[in-house]
Amino acid sequence: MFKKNKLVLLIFVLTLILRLYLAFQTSEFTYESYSHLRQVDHITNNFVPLYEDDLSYGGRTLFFLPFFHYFVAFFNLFLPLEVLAKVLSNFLYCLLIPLVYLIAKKVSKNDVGAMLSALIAALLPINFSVNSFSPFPFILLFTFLTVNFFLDYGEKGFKEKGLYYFIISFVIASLSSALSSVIIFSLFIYILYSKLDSKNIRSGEVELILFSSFFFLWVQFIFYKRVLLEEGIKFIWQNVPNTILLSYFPNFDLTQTVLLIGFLPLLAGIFLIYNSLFSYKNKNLFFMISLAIGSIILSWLKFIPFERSLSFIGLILAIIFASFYQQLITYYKRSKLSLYDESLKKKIKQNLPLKNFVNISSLVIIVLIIPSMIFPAIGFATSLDTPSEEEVELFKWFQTEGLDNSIEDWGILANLKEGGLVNYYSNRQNVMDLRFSLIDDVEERLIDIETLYTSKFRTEALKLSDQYNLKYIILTNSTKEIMGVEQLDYFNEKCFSLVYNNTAGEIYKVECSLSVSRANGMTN
Amino acid sequence: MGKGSKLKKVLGENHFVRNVYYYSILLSLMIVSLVFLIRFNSGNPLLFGEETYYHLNLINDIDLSFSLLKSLSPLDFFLSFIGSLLDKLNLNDLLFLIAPFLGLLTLVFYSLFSKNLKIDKFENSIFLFFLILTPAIIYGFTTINNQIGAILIISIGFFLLTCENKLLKYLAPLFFLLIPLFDLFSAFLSLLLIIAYLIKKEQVVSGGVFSTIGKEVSDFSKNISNPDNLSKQIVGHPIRLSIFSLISMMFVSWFYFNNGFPIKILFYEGFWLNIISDLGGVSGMSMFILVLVIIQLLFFWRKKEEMIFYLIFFVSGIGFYFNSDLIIYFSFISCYLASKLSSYLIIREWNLKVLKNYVVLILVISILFSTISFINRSDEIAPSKELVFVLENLEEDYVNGKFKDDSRSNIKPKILSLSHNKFFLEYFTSLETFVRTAKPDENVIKRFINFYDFKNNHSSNDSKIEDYDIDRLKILEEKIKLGKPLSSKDIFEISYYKPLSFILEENGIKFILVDDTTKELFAPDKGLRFVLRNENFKLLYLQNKTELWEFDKLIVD
Repeated sequence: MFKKNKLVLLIFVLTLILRLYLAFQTSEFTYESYSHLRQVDHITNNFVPLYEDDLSYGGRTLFFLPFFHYFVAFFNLFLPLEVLAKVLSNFLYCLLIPLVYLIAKKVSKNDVGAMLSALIAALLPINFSVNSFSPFPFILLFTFLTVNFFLDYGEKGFKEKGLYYFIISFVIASLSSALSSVIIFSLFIYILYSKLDSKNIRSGEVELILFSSFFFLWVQFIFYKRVLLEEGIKFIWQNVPNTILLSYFPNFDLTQTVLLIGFLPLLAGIFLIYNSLFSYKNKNLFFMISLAIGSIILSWLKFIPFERSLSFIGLILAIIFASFYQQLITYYKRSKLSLYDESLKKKIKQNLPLKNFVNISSLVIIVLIIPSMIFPAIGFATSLDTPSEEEVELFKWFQTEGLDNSIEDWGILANLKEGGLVNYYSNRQNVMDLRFSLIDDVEERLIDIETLYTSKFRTEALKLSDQYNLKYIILTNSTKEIMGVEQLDYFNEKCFSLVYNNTAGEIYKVECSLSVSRANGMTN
Repeated sequence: MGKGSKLKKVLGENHFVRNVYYYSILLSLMIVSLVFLIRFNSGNPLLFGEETYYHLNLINDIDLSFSLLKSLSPLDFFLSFIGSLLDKLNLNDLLFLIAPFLGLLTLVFYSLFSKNLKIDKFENSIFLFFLILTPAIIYGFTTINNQIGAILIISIGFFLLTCENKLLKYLAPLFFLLIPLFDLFSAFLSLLLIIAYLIKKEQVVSGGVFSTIGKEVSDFSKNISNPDNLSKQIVGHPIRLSIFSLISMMFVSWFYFNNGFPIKILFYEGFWLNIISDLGGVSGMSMFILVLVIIQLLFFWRKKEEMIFYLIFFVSGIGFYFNSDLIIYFSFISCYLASKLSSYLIIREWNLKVLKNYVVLILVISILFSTISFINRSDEIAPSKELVFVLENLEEDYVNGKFKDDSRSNIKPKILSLSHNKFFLEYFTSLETFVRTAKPDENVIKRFINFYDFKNNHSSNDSKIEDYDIDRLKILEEKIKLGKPLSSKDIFEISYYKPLSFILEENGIKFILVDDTTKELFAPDKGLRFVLRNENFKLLYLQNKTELWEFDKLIVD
C-alpha cells in the first residue's frame, strides 16, 4: 500500500516538474487567460470582482462566479500574480492525479489499476494546457472531489464527515463555474440509467442529488439572472458570434480525440462501457459511466465546449481504466493460462504467478501509455496559442511610454483574441475580447475589426475608429496572419503615424477623425 | 405510527400551522401593501396592468352603448356598481382596492372550505405560502382581471357545496351558474374541480377520473327517460346539480353570449419567459415551483388521487400556452402540485437529515427571492407616471382645442402606439387609438407602391441599414398587396418619410406615442423613430423616456 502511494506521489512530483518546466519556457499565457488575471489582480487590490468593466468592449457589465478568482487572489497576497498563475494552475492539474487514484481505487478495488489510472490522468494530453490560467483546473478538481465524496455514500462515517466534504466540494464547484452542471446532469443520467436497469437508488443518493440540483440552480439563478433575462436560452452558448461558433463548439473529430485522450484509455473505456453498460453490478462504475455519458451529451448539445468535455471524458476514462485492468486480472484468473500457472505454483510451492502477471501486464501498459501519451502531451503544451514576448512588448509600450494617459476614454484596436492583452497590459479599452456575454453587437464588432484591418478606404476606417473611439491600432504578426494583410492599406502619414514597432508588429496612432468634436480633441 | 406520520402530527400542532389562515391573510395583506407602497412611492398610478384598464374602459362605455351588455362579465357589472358607488361618495381613488379586496375574499372562502373539507393543515399551509408568494398570484390580486372574479365565485361555490347545511349546499349551483359568464375556460376548470370533489366525496379514487365521468354519464343516459330517477340523480345531489348547472350554463353561454376561450388581453411573447418570473416575465412563478412540479409529475405520476389535478395542470398549461392571461390558473395548480411534493419532502424520513434542512432552506429562500424581485419590479408595470402625465396633458390640450383640425382628412385624429398601450390610451384620452388598418383599397395599394418605388429606385450607398429598410418596405408592400391589415408595429418599422406620411395620413394618425418599450424595440436610427427627425413631426411632450409627437404635415407633396 505504502509503495503504491509512493508511486502516485512520484508520478505527481514528476508531472509537476514537467508541467512547470514546459510552462516557464515562456513568460506569457494563452490569450483567454488575461481576463482572469485582470480579475484576480482587481480582487487583490479592491477585494471585489470587476463586474463593471470600463475597458472591455469600451465598458460593459460582466457576470461570472468569482470563487476561483478569490481563491487565487488570496495567494496573490504572498506571490507575484504571473508566477502564481503558472504554478497554481499546474499544481491544480497535478492534484487531479492522487484524486483520480482515489476514485479509481473506489471504482475498481484494484491498487495497481488505480495507479495506472493516476498515470494516465497525469499524462492526459488535453490537460497539458500548461500556460493557461482559468478556473477550469479548479473546477475539474472540485467536480471530481464531489464525485469522490458521492461515491463514499454508504461507507462508514459518511454521515459524520463525508457528507460535509461532499457539501463543501459541491458548493465550491457551483460557486466557481456553471461547468459544474456536468455533475448535476450526470446525476440525473445516473437516476435514469438505474431506473432503466431496474437498479435500486439508495434514498441517501436521491437526497444528495436533490440538494445538489436545488443548490446549483439557485446559485446559477442568483449570479446569471440578468444574463438569463437578457439572453434567454442563448446564455448557454455565451453569445459567441456565429462566425467563430464552430471553433468554440467544434464537431466531433476522432483523430483529435484519440490524440488528446490517448488511444489506450479510449479503447479500454469503450470496451468496458460496451461490456458492462447493462450487465456489470458495480454501482461506482455505473456512476462513472453516467458521468461520461453526461459529459458527452452536454458536449454534443454544445452546452460545454468540446475541449472542456474532452478533459472530463479523459479523466473519466482514466478512472475507468482501473476497472478495465481489474477485469483483465479477473479474465486472467479464469483463463487456462492461470490454471497452468497454478500447477506451476504447486510445483515450485510459491505464490508467484498472479504477481508475475500483474507485474508484467502493468509494465506492458506503462510501456504503452508513456510514449503514446507523453509526446502528444508535450506537443499539445508547446503548441498552445500564446502571444510572443515581442508581441506583449507592443501592448506594454502604452504603460512604459505613458502616452495620452489622461482620463479621457480612448481605445486601442487589436484583434479579437488580443482584446484581453489590451485591457491587461495597456490598461485601455478594446473593441472586443473573448468574453461575449451580454454584448448586443458582437457580430457587428467582429466585422468592424476585420474591416479596420482589411479596408482599403481611409474614410471607412476613420468612421469606425470614431465609432469605437480608437486612438491606436496594433498590428501584430499574429493579426497579419489572421487577417491576411501585411500592412494597413489605408495607411498614410497624415492620418496614421507609426509610433512604435518591433519584430512582432507595429503600433499606429490615429491622427484624423471624421467627427469635428473628436478632431478638435485630437489637435488639443 | 411511522416517523413520517409522527412528524406530520407534530408539524400540524405548530402555532403557525394551526393559525395558517390568519397568517396567510396577514402575509397577503403585507405583500399587496408592499406592491402598492412601491408604486405609490415612485409616483405611478395604483391602478395598473393592461387588463385593469380594459375593464375600466368597458364599464365607462356602458353608458355609451347598451349593446355592450352582452359582452360584459359579472366582474364588469360588479365594477360598474362599485365604481358608481365610489363616484357618488367621491372616493374614486379607492378603486385600486377592489382587486385586493376580491383576493382577500377568495382567501377567506378558501380557508372556510378547506376547513369544511378538513384539508391537512400542514399541506395547506405550504400551499398557501407558495400561492401568496407567487408573482402571478400577486399580480392577479393587485390588478383587475376576469380570472379573480371567476376564482372568487369558484371559492364561494365550493364553500357552499362543502357546508353541512343542506340549504347552503343547494345555493352552490347558483354560483357555479355564474362562472360560464366569465369565460368557458374558467367554467371548464371549475367543472374539473367539482369532479375532483365528487371523486373525493364519493370515494371513487380507485376508479379514476375518466371512469367516474363515464359512470355519471351512463347513469344520466339511463335515467333520462325516467324523470323521477333523473331528479334523484341530479336534483337530489348538490354536487351533481352543480355539475349539471355548470354544463347547461356553459352551453347557454356559448350559444347565446358567444362566450368562448377568454379574449387575449395581454400580448406578451415567449411562453417560457412568462412562466418563470425570474426570467423577466410580467408575472409568472418562481423557477423552483416549476422544478418541484416537474419532479412531482416525473416521480408521482402514477398517484391516482392526484390524477385529476394532473389533468387540470395540463389543461391550464394548454390554456396558458394560447392565452397568457390564464397564468393565474396555471400558477394555482402548479403551487398545489409543488406543495404536495414539498410536504412529502418535509415529512419523509431523510437518511441524511442535514440535507433536508438545507433543501428546505434553499426552497424557501429561492421562492422568497422570486417574490421580492417581482415586488421590486412592480413599479415597472405600465402605466408609468410619465405615460399618465403625457396622456392627461394631451387630453387637456385636445379638449381645449389646442390642435388645429386637419381639413384634408375627415377621419378623427388617432394616436399611434404599440399595442400594449391601447387600453391606457383609451382610458386617459378621448382620442381614437390606432391598432390596425382596415383592408386597404386598390387606390391605397397603388399609391403606396408608387411611394415605395420612388425610394426603391433612389440611389443609395448600399449600406446595411438601407438594405434592412428596403426589406421592411418590401414586406409591408407584400402585406398591403395581399390586403392584410397593418399593425402599429409595421408602421414603426417604416424608415422613409414618404410612405410613412402616406400611411399616417391615410389612417388619420396625428399623434405618435413613443415609450420605453417602443425605444427598446426600435433603435433611434431605424424605422419611424428615425423619421421623427423630419420637420413634419413636432415633439409635444417629453416626460423622462416617454415622448408624444404630433404629425403635422407642413409640406404638401
